[in-house]
Amino acid sequence: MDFLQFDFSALLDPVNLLVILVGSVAGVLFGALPGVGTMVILVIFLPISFMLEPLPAILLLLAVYQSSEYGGSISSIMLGIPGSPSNVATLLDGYPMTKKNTPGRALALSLYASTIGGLVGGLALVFLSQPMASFAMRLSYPEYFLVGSLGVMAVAVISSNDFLRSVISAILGLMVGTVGMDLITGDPRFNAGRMELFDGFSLVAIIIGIFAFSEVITMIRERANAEPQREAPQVSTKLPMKDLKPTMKAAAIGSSVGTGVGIFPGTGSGTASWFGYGLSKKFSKNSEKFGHGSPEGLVGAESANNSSVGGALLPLLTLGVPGSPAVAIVMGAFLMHGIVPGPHTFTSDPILTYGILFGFVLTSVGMFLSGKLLTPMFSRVVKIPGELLVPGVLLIAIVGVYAADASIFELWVAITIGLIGFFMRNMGFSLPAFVLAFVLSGIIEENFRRSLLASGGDFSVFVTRPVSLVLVLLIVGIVGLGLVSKYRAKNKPKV
Amino acid sequence: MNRRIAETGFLTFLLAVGVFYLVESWGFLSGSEQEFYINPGFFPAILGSLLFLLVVVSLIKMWVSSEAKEKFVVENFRKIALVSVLTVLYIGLWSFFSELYYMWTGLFYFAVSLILAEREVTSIPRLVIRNAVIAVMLSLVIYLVFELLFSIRMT
Repeated sequence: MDFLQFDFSALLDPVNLLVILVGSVAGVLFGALPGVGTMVILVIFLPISFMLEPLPAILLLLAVYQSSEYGGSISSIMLGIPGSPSNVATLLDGYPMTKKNTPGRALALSLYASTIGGLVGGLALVFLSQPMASFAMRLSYPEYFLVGSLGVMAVAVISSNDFLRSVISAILGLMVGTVGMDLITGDPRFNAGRMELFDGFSLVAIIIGIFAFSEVITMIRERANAEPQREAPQVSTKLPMKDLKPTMKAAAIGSSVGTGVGIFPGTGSGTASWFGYGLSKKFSKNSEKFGHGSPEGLVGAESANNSSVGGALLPLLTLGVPGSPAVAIVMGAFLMHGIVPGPHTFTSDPILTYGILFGFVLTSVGMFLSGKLLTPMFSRVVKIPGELLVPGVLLIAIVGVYAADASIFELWVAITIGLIGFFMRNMGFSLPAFVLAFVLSGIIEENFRRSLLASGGDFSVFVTRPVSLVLVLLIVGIVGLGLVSKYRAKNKPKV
Repeated sequence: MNRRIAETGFLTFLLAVGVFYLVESWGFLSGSEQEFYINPGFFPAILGSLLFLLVVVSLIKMWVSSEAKEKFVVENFRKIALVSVLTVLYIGLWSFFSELYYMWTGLFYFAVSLILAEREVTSIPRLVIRNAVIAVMLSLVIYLVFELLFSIRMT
């Protein structure tokens, strides 16, 4: 089926529209809470998505993901505290605008840029996914093993300053993923004779444990140094027309760069926003105003982080390999519904696949509407005191783990993993690399062993096929570049 | 606590995990007549060996690094410990007396919110009433969303 033949009535079902709206509102609301971040919001919504049909489940998570990227800019702009790492670049020009008593203008620009970015990322997803899926159909076991490994290695290189410990994190994630039934022989492995582990660790327990529980401990820890938040002023998100034309170039640069960066495994919206900000500054006639409340800087960063969401979904939908931890959570929703995403879903489940593609475009509309109507109200949630927020996040995380499987055992697993995650986070290990490796462990191991099975145990199969060779070189290049840049950063003279 | 001691403890824990995992993996490989790549212990054996090797390298690297001499401080440790104990207690009570789930939930939220209240409180009764009201409301929201909307029995 071609994407133009898609029956839109399947997408415009009231349930789908409702979940997009609910996800958008929740994404903006939770994204606005300082320190909560996209990952925590997604993991909280993951068990809820399990209770829905596959299409609304995925759309709910995508709406939450998309809108939380904008929601994170609210606390960056209002308080100078980024809602998530992807909103740090937003802070550079957004917060100075608040200091100049124009927070409403900054929020309006952020919403407009996020919407443009979201739409561009969505359109890229619609138009690029089919050609990329056709290409993916020609790939075989070695390439899938290498694409999975590339994603994990890229995240390991980028997400921590200690490369060695990032790789250890990835190996730990792969190890946790091997618990349960062997995918090839069906033998039970490492389950200590427990029935609960026969199918391996629950995705929800591991993801919520590692991100939400360790985040809660970090939030309690950081309260020691937190300064009381000042009063959030009243804001309106009406965009002055005079701001539209001068920021169009930054929006175009940010959106296209963000989409491209998002496609590349391991990058994510944080990297995209810095690229968007940097390139907008480079091509701006008013680059000296960047960092002092420049609308172009704000628009460049915000359009990039939202467009990267669409880009990041491309490898998942076309190769079945998530390129970032946030997309790995979206992949979790697929797997929990018994669907393995990949190029074959374009033919085996076209309504779901095209519903996601077009539905993703609608999430930008949902984000715009909820942002437009609710930002003035939600800009006050940044004032919620930690003593009310932290137990709320903890409680929702606990309920979320239980709701996924109705199992207390999973709760103990999540709590234990959360505690280990806290130490990992504070000792230079990479939680994103751990989670991505855990989610991809099945793909990586199965394709690695099937490659050897097909080649009769000959390891040269990973370098003799052209695409495999390119992927191997990419992995070597990424690791090499990462090591060199970290060595340079370490040996840079301190001034 | 010295960062070096804390990290040595954690890395030793990882080393123990690696050794246990490796031993289990070898259990599959030894005596098996399967081709190595079909054996379920093949991939785990690679992972276990890599983990062992990298953790040992990380330990050596940490021991020669001057940064490891810094103090490993966990701010608000008392509160973290209290919240952790309360969480374990909450899950334990839930698993043994599940019919009282909503009561445990309200009490858990209320207790954690009081532990975390750290600013100079001008009116303690006001704080207690506010947190208690929110605890009840949150329990109600959980009931409405999970029990009624999604039909998940929490009790």
